[in-house]
This record gives sequence, structure tokens and C-alpha cells, in this order.
Amino acid sequence: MSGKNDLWVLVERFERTIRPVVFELLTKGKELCSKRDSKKPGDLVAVAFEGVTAEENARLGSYGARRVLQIGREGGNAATYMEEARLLVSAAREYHPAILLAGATAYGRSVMPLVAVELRTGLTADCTGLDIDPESGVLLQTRPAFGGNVLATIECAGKRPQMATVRPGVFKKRAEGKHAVEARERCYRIPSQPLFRVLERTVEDRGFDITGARVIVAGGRGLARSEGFSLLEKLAKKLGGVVGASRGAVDLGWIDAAHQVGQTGHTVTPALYVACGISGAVQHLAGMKDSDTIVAINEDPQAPIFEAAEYGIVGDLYEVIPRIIERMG
Amino acid sequence: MPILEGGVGIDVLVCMKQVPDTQKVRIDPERGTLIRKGVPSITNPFCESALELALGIREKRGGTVTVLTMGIPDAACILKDALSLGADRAILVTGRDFAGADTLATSYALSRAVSSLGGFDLLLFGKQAIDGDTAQVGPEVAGMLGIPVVTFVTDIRKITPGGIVVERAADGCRELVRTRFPSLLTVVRAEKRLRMPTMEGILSSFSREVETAGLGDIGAESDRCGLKGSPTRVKKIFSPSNGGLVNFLEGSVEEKAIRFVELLKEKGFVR
Ligand SMILES: Cc1cc2nc3c(=O)[nH]c(=O)nc-3n(C[C@H](O)[C@H](O)[C@H](O)COP(=O)(O)OP(=O)(O)OC[C@H]3O[C@@H](n4cnc5c(N)ncnc54)[C@H](O)[C@@H]3O)c2cc1C
Ligand SMILES: Nc1ncnc2c1ncn2[C@@H]1O[C@H](COP(=O)(O)O)[C@@H](O)[C@H]1O
Repeated sequence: MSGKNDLWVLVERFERTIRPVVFELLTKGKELCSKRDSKKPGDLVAVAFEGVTAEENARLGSYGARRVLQIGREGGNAATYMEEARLLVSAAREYHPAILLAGATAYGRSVMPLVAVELRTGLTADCTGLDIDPESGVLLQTRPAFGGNVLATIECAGKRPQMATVRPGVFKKRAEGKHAVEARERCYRIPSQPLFRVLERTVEDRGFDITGARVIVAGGRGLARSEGFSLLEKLAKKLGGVVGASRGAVDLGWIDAAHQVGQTGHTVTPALYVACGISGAVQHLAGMKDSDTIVAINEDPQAPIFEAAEYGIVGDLYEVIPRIIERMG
Repeated sequence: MPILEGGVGIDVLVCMKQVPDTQKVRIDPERGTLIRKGVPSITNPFCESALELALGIREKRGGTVTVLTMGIPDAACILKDALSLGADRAILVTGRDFAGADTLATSYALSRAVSSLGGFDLLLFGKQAIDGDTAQVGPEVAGMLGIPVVTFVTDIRKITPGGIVVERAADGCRELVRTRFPSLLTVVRAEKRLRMPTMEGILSSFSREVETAGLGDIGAESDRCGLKGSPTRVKKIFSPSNGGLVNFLEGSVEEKAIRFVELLKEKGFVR
């Protein structure tokens, strides 16, 4: 593990299983590595804390990792994100990766700033696009700013590693074959933090996960009543999809916040997004504008949602949607 | 409701940021740039939640609330508001050296300011600022100061003389975390809205001024501040709109529905 041009992806777990965003980042990381200077392309490395099983190793490999680096604490486990940040700093000081990526989850957004500060380097939060500058080989990090009103491309040319967190669901994951990859373990001595302790932990019901859906039929305040969501549910079912919502609808208590799409909700990139009775506030667009096909149904032809949509239907959703369902048989 | 134990007061510092009201930001459609003119500035809503939490702690437990911001001179407004709500002391870190700071340079300047003020039990930050949404400055300041950080705090459960038990919500989990003093907390938007100023509060705040501090006052090195101290650069800014190329489906309601179903078939969503 000498190459100083390696690209690291931080392996994050949720209740022991590796989060999907890790595989999304590996897929993207593989593409980024292929775009870099062919003389020192560097390797894609998955960096993990807990025991990586043989099966997980093969899975990480199938998404493009060339190596798995397992880092641990001398004489014990790392119990908190603060300790894990310290371990990551130690590993980065030993191997000097060029790029370090993590999911823009609550976890990633707690660990990565601590690492960036220790290494005195830049960190770009919540990216929705990553690329390599063909001339300089620098990582181009694109992220929404001002509540999704604009996109900014940011670079960290003079410091290493170049660090970014990426929203889950933004990049597609793609596996190719299953093969075991080289695994290495390193332990570092770090001071303990005995006065910071997790006393209790409850996992909330995660029965519903909108971020992986292929089709989303979303509703907003234009539904006028909570029952409107049963109509959308019918359409979503026929399309093999799920129901999403604007914050307007969530705030009125018509549907659970797990369904909310947008800046303070989930970022989604389904193949089809049907927005019904949603005006298209920038905060909503921030969460769904990268969907493949966007269709908007709204009474108001001036509604900003039509600027983000590929197809538009101007009309009363209570007239249009039942007819669509009927026509689908 | 926080359960409080013991006797001594808690000295809290709240880091607050002035931000443009992102709901009112508009894009210049031709140049794809942000039109900032005429966009009102507000206190970052997450920082308001942090301030409310701080004022609540002082009410129940005694101690002091200090507010701190780094920004242009106009950012003193948000500190004045905080004073009228009862903050004991307000400090504005300002000067040309600080302009153009990214999160690393911002965190450096704030951590220097915190050290020079000294002696806080708790540092409260908003989870994120709505203009940048980075959610980075809190943890970075904690890292610079070498103190524990608890991110995504939703409530304070208990304060003891040595530390604090807080509730945090992260990635589908709720956790109770105990941490010692001093610690830094980043606060998510709380249920409890920031209180309104009272006439009494406004009048009594007239006796307290917003103090300003520059590079020398906080003992900061100029090449770690502002643009010079920022490892990241904005390379370009562009508008996310796809050009507004919507295809409206025309005709009667019936025809629109038919056309839509055809489209679904063409794209392979229904057979
Ligand atoms: C910091 C911050 C974060 C935010 N985060 C989010 C977020 O994550 N997600 C989010 O969605 N919002 C978010 N918002 C809120 C956002 O600004 C909007 O207020 C919200 O998206 C509006 O919801 P809406 O489109 O459902 O309602 P409205 O804006 O009221 O739009 C309703 C639409 O329905 C149409 N309509 C009415 N009746 C019918 C009918 N019968 N048939 C068809 N159309 C009809 C109307 O023409 C209108 O366009 C955030 C705001 C802030 C300040
Ligand atoms: N210039 C600043 N002055 C004071 N506090 C700040 C400043 N920038 C960020 N913060 C604090 O850091 C939090 C997170 O901001 P950010 O990392 O920019 O999303 C904010 O809610 C504030 O509490």
C-alpha cells in the first residue's frame, strides 16, 4: 500500500451491515480512478473499522475496491465516532491517500470534519457530483448551495487528502463479478475518551426507505387532504413504486416524515418521479431534481416545478390521476 | 424537559451565523448567478434553536450565555437580537482578514475566539447553516480545541456538575450520550421555537453592547484565516435548472391521461 495516489472510501455500517452508500461511492471511485493520470493512477481502497467478513470483502471487491484496509485500536475497540476519526487520521498519516470519501450521513458528517481538522485539509460536504479535472487531476466536488438555488464546484488543489462527503442515493452502484481482494489490518494507539459515552441507543423503525425506490409518486399541499395520499398510493402501486411527499404535506401531518423529499428530507434519484400538487420550492427540488424522468401534475402552469420537469400536466390532480389509473387497467 | 442536578451555573457560548434567507434568493436566469441584492439576512434557524437551548439552561440552572459570530459588521444585528432575548455578552469577530473563509478557516478563527474568551462549560452550534449546509464548523471547532463533540443533539436530558447527558438523533437512531464539560454540541432544529423578545428584555439590552474583535484580539495567525487559510476554492457556480424544457401534455383531461399512460409505456414503466 505505497501508492500515494490512492482513493479511500470509508466503510460505514448501520447495525452491522454495510450501508448502500459505500457501494455507491466505490462505483464512483472506480470511475474516478480510471480518469486519473495513467502513470500513477492509484488504487481504490475500502477502509473499514470492524471485522470485515470474507463475504463482505468479496462484495467490496465486486464494486471496485482493490484492497480492504481494516484499521483498529490497540487493545480494544473504537467505541465512538471521535475515536474512529482518530484512527482514520493515524491511517491517513501512514498511507497518504490522495482522496478520502464518505457518505454524507450523520455518521460521515461527524467523523470527516474531525479528520479534516487534524490533517488540516479541506472537506466538501454533501456533494452531488464528483469528477476529476482532466488537466490538473484534482478532484472536482459539486454540491448544492443556498438551499439548492445554485450548484458550486469546489476543489482542494493544494492539500491532501482531498475530502468529500456524498449524499446517499446520488450515485448508482454497480457490481461486477465477485472476487476477494487483498486485506490488510493495522492497529494504532490512540488515547481513550472515557468521558464521552453512548448510554443508550434505540433504532427507530426503518420499515420504509424511500431512497432506493425506482418510481416515486409524490404529493404536496395541493392534495388538500390527507386522503389524497391513498390515491397516490394506488398509482404508485401500479407503477411498482412508493409514495413521497413535500414538506408542506408532512408539516400538515398528512404523511410520515420518512416520505419527505428535499433539502431537509431525503435525496432521491428514481427512474421516474411524479410530483402531484407540489409547487417546486427550491428546497424540494434539491432532493429530487436528479431523477431520470420527472413528471409534474399541477393546476398552476406557472408553478416552478414545471421548470424541473421533463413532462407536465396542467390540471386538477383529482381529475387527472383517477383517469390515469383507469387507463392503466 | 431537562432534569438538572447540582448547584453551580453553566457558562454557555452559542456560535451564531447570519445567513441570507434562502427562500428569497433568486437566480439571474441569464448569468446563472445568485442575485443577493435585496435578499434579507436572517439568523440561521439552527442557531436560533441553539440559543433557545442555551437560554433554557441558564433559566433552570444559572450561569451565563455568550453569543459569538464571525462575519461582516452587519452581522452585529443577529447579536443584538440575541442580547434583547437575554444573552449576557455578545462578540462579533470581524475584519478583512476573515473574508472568504471556508469551513477550515472559519473553524480556526472561531476556535481562536473561543480560546481567547475562555472558560466555557458548553459550546452550542447549529447543526448546519442554511446557506452552506455544510454541518462542518461545529465538529471542526471541537477538533481544533480538542474537546468532545456531540452532533445532531435534539434535547438536553440532564446536567450534572461534571457533564451533561444529551439526546441525539442520527441516521435512524436515537442515542443518549454522556459527555464531560467542556463539550461542544451541534443542535438540530428543536421543537421549541426561539422565544420572542419582551419589552423589558429589549430595554435592558440597551446597556449591553456588541463587542468587536479582530485578528489581534483573538490571537489568530493571519495566514490561517480567510481566503489565505482556506484549502478549498469555489471553482465555479452555476444554476441547477435544466433550462425549463418541459413538454406539456395537451388536450382534454382524458387526452392528457391517455398521453401520460402512453409515455409510461414508451419508457417501460408499464407494459
Ligand atoms: C430550511 C428549509 C428546509 C426545507 N426543506 C424542505 C424539504 O426538504 N422538502 C420540501 O418539500 N420542502 C422543504 N421546505 C419547504 C418548502 O420551502 C416549501 O414550503 C414546500 O416544499 C411547499 O410544499 P408544497 O409544494 O406541497 O406546497 P405549496 O407550495 O403550497 O404548493 C402546492 C401546489 O399544489 C398545486 N395545487 C393545488 N391544488 C391542486 C390540485 N387540485 N391539483 C393539482 N395541483 C394543485 C398548487 O398550484 C401549488 O403549486 C423547506 C423550507 C425551509 C425554509
Ligand atoms: N461565521 C460564523 N460565525 C459563527 N458561527 C458560525 C459561523 N459559521 C458557522 N457557524 C456555526 O457553525 C454551525 C454550522 O455551520 P456550517 O458548518 O457552515 O453548516 C452554524 O449553525 C453556527 O453555529
